[in-house]
Amino acid sequence: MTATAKSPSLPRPQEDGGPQAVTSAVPASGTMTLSRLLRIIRELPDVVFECRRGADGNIYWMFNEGKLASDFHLTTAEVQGRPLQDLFPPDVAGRLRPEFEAAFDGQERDFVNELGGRYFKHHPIPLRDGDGKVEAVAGFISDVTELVKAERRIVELQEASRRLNDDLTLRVLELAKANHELETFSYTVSHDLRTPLTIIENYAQVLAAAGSDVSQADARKALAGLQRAVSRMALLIENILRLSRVSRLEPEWAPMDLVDLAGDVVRELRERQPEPAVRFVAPASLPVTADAQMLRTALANLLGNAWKFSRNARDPRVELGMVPGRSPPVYFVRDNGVGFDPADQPRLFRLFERLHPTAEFEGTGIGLATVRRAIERLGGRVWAEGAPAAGATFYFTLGQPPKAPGTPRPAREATPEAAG
Amino acid sequence: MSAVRVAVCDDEVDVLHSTQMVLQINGFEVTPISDARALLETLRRVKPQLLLQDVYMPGLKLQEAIGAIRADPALLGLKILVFTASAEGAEICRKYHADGYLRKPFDAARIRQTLEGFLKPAVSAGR
Repeated sequence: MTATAKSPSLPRPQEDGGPQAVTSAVPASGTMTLSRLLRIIRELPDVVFECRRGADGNIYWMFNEGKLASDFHLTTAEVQGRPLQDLFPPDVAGRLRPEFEAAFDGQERDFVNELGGRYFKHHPIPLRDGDGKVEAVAGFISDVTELVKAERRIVELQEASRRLNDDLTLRVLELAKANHELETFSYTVSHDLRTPLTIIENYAQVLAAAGSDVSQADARKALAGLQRAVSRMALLIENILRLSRVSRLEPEWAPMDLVDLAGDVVRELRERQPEPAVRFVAPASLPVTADAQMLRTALANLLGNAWKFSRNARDPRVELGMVPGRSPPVYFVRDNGVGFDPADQPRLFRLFERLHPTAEFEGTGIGLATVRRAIERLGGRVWAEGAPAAGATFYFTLGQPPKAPGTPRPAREATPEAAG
Repeated sequence: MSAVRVAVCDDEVDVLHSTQMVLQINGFEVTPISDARALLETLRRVKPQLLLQDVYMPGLKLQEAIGAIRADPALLGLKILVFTASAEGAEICRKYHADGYLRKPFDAARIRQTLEGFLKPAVSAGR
């Protein structure tokens, strides 16, 4: 603004010439008349105002000019002599009043007020007379809507960036956890596969020496042992694959009956182990919403365990049921078998942990880890209670499908992000 | 010369029996131990030259077991080999002050040389 005044434009030589031909580049100021001042104020994008306090305590508008005043039809001609509460809606007047009162009490104020979705910065300044007494309040009002919106946008962006950062930190932690689980998994898998491999290697060596150093009877034993080891290895691999499938696939939610699913599993268990006859107790129906494959896998392992660990009981009994009066519903599988030491609770669901020697109860140590994974994929929780020789009860809950039942979910869980 | 006596302690029945058979074919005299609680008592009775000891067994605290063996004058000179499927055999061996380790599965065809290597006096071990 000052630059134009100082622009070094060369003075134009006057036609008549002469020693006084050079004039100043700075234009003459002319006389500052009231109308000229008013014209300047009216051209400002803001409002310049003046108000006074009446004997009745009301704040009366005296002067209000500027583009903003014209836009709102609040020019001096329209507002002069009207009290504040006449000019603004009651809530706005209520907010403005204490600010203006403060200005009349001698304080310079600066605040933003909202009106009809737009934001106005008010800057009332006390005007004092010769005795220092506040005789009027004047100042300006500017439309700062864009500024306020920009500030809000910055706050929103900061908030979003913080959330994104938190999310990212969480994901990094999840990834580290998954990575650690994977390491433990591959370590234990290779470790556990080496046991049947040892047996296979040894018996194969025994069979290789058969005839010379090994009797027919020992050779037969070796062959049987080798076959056992191969079956065990196959079972291990099968169980690992099942666990991996439960971890990998997205649940397909559908309504189903827990008792029906259990009925199928029990039929298979009875075929595999007809003796001793295990009594199975269940209500007529337990309707649930879940993924049939995952729930079946969980049930097969829970009921399979119940079958296995109760087979030495006097009257083996396995019960499937629902704990009354719990929300979300708590289901259970209970047996009257060997039970477990509550101190072993933390090891129960851990991969490849086995509480019983293979000689007593066969198993791969994958079953309950699979149960936990399946139930967790279904949004539920699984836990157990038991005591040595007093049976075991496994409890589980089921979560809710993320959308309507039967709606397949996207393969990857998409994070809700701003489009664009 | 009488056969070298080896004790194998492992709760996996088939691991125990198959290892026993392989060692017997190779001319060792084998005492299988499936219950860790019977370990010390059996060792004192049989007095083997070598023990193949599984790491994770119900009722076994490896640190205590090896400590008890080392403290027992009747078991002086017994070589303890950790018998493990773990890739960290050397670390387990150091941690529990064993004399060595044998990883599962082991090379059954060469087991005689492997075990004899452990039984040799320390001076000639580094050939």
